[in-house]
Amino acid sequence: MAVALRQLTYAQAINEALRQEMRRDPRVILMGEDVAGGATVTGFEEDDAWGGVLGVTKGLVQEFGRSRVLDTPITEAGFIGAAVGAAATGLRPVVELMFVDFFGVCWDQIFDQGAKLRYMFGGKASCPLVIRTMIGAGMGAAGQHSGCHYSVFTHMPGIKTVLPSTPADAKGLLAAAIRDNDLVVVFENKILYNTSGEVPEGEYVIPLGKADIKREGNDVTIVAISRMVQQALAAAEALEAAGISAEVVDPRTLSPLDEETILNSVAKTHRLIVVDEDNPRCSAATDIAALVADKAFSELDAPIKLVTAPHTPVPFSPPLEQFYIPSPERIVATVQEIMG
Amino acid sequence: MATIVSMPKWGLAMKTGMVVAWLKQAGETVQQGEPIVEIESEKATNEVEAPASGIMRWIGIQEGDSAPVGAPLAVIAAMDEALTDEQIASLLREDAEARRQRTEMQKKPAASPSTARPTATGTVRAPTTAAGRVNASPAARRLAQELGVDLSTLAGTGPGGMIGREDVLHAAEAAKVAQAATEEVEERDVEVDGVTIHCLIAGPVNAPHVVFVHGLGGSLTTWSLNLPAFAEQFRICALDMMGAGDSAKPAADYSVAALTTFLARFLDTLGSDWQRVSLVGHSLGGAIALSFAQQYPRRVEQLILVDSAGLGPEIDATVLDLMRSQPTLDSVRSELTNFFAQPELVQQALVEQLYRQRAQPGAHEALVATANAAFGNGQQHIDLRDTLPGLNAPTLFVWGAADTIIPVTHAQQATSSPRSRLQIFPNCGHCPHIEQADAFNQLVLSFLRE
Repeated sequence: MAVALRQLTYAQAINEALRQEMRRDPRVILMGEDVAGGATVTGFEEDDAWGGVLGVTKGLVQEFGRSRVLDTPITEAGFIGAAVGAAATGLRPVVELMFVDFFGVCWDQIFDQGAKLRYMFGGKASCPLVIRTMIGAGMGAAGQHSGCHYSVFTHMPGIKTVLPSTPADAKGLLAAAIRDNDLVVVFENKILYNTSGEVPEGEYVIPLGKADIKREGNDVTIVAISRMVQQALAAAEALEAAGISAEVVDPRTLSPLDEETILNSVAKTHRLIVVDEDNPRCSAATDIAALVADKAFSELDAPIKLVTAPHTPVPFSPPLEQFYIPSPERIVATVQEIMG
Repeated sequence: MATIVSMPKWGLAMKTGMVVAWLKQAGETVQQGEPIVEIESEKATNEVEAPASGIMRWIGIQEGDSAPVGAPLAVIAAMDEALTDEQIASLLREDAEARRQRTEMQKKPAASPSTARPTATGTVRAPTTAAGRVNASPAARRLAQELGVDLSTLAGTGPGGMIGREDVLHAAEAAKVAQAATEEVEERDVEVDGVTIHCLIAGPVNAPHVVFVHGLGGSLTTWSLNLPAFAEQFRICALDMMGAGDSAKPAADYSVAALTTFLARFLDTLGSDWQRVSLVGHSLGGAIALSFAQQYPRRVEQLILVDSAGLGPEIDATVLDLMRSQPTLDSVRSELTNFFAQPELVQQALVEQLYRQRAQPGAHEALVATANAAFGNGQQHIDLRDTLPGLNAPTLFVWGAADTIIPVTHAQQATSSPRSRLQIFPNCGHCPHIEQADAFNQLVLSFLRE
């Protein structure tokens, strides 16, 4: 059966996934700061809802009403704790943590409550909760609104971490996250919201834990995360002109991690570069490098190289912010360095 | 696991062999190392041992039939292995395909300097770390182990000069080509001062050069059981001396001194890469080699003297008399019998071959001239004992303990040479390189590698 495709932006794909899941399952609710917008403000309740700070959930309150699209106070500890409780007691909330940088105020609710419920109650409780959160530098939003930090979440057992890099993946992975019976955090790179791509119509679910080879190649494996997949694809295009065939592997979820696809790719190319916008210490990049060094050492024909952000907060200065983000040029230069 | 028994290759020149007799029949149990078939080549008849234990499942070549070197003779099935005819057929097909590929590989010309990568020359040293460890990628290390490539001989083209998979693959390819060149045996006729000298040259071009000099009444075929082993690691040349084998037999000076000078002229003619060589000399050839080392000390790397003449007065008169008489099949057979501690080693084929050589025009005259110049009245005229103390080249003396032609007591002269070693083979006659070929090859190869 042919799947109908059309162009959607990354933001529209997320909105479509939420709408379809909410239609499919009445237990799915949205919570967060301004996810509807205008709550308790006379004259704004019906018409001019914000739909989130960047409008990703716009229009959902009109279809599902304020009993399922809940504006919350600016109290992450409170409303994420409420979402954990709602999930444990029968709903399937999708709660928005506006910027991932705010995780510090609600971290206890996430990693010590939501992530551990199933474990602490011997499997008798669960937490089918989705936290959507924005990551990424590039919008001049400065050090407290531009981080990635998904490596922190990936470190904790009991949390699934999902990082879509394309509109189609955004739709399919968010749908899978909502249907999952455990705590899933979906990291949305804000720079990707306006990028477009083909997205299947209707129900579209991508299983969590399945990496995607975004481009096939033979000389070097570039494992790239979230927006870095787009940087890696641009680099691969430039490398092809230089006669180097790069394979771009998008893990799509860091927990669980599709080790097999990464290891198979390295067994084919014998070289590995990991591109990660997160800070470099104890990161997804070092984790994947360690995986390959541990399980595929004798496949390596060159040192593993990491292309990451520096070990600093995201700078506000626009030139420094651009320097901070791994660029296609840096990826190309690193590949050429290990090709000898 | 079934095992194929193939036609062996016993000499560099052996191309086919004939099955004389099957010592084991189909259905019989065989033990590894047990003789299963008798094969006759142009130069010798020998037994082939079972390469594995099991049951003789299939015999492909009947007694009296010939087959080329490498062709399957039989299949031995493992004890508990039920092998169908189809399985045997497919095993043989695979074997044929593998042989076809090897042949193709050998036909490829050796890589020319312009196409060979610098990594393949084997002379470039590998990049090493400060600690002296070879700088190679993990994948290159694994591949090198699988393909039997020595990383320390490679140059790296990877990041920072690291040896990568590509470097190993190129080296393995180059080694295959070199191996093919090794197996390319060249029989050549060389003009030396108007005299045609027949010789056999083989082995890797870049390897150290080794020259084999036969004894009185012999020819380069005396080294048939040795040359293949040496050609794997060394560039070798075995020649028929002037007046012997298939070389010209002019009326000339056949003294050891003249033959020594002639050997030098021969090596000059072969080319500049033969300026410095190791010499293996048997009997009278030993005396020529020793005399060569005395006259041209800078041209000799190492010296191997096998039951050598020139190291004492005694020599058996019977054999010399037989050589001086007009050759008949019987006289040749009697003569050969004296050379071995185990006379049953003298095969009819060998007798006939030697007889044919001796019957060539001028062959007898040259032989007598050579014998008379060196020996007479049961005595050696040549005495090279004085040269031993001044010998610079490391020298290996090899002797058969049961040598009845030149007595093993002459081996004690080894102690006069400063850098010498001595190996005596028990229960062995005048020709250890034939009678104990494997042990001889092992000994001399390890000496040459030192």
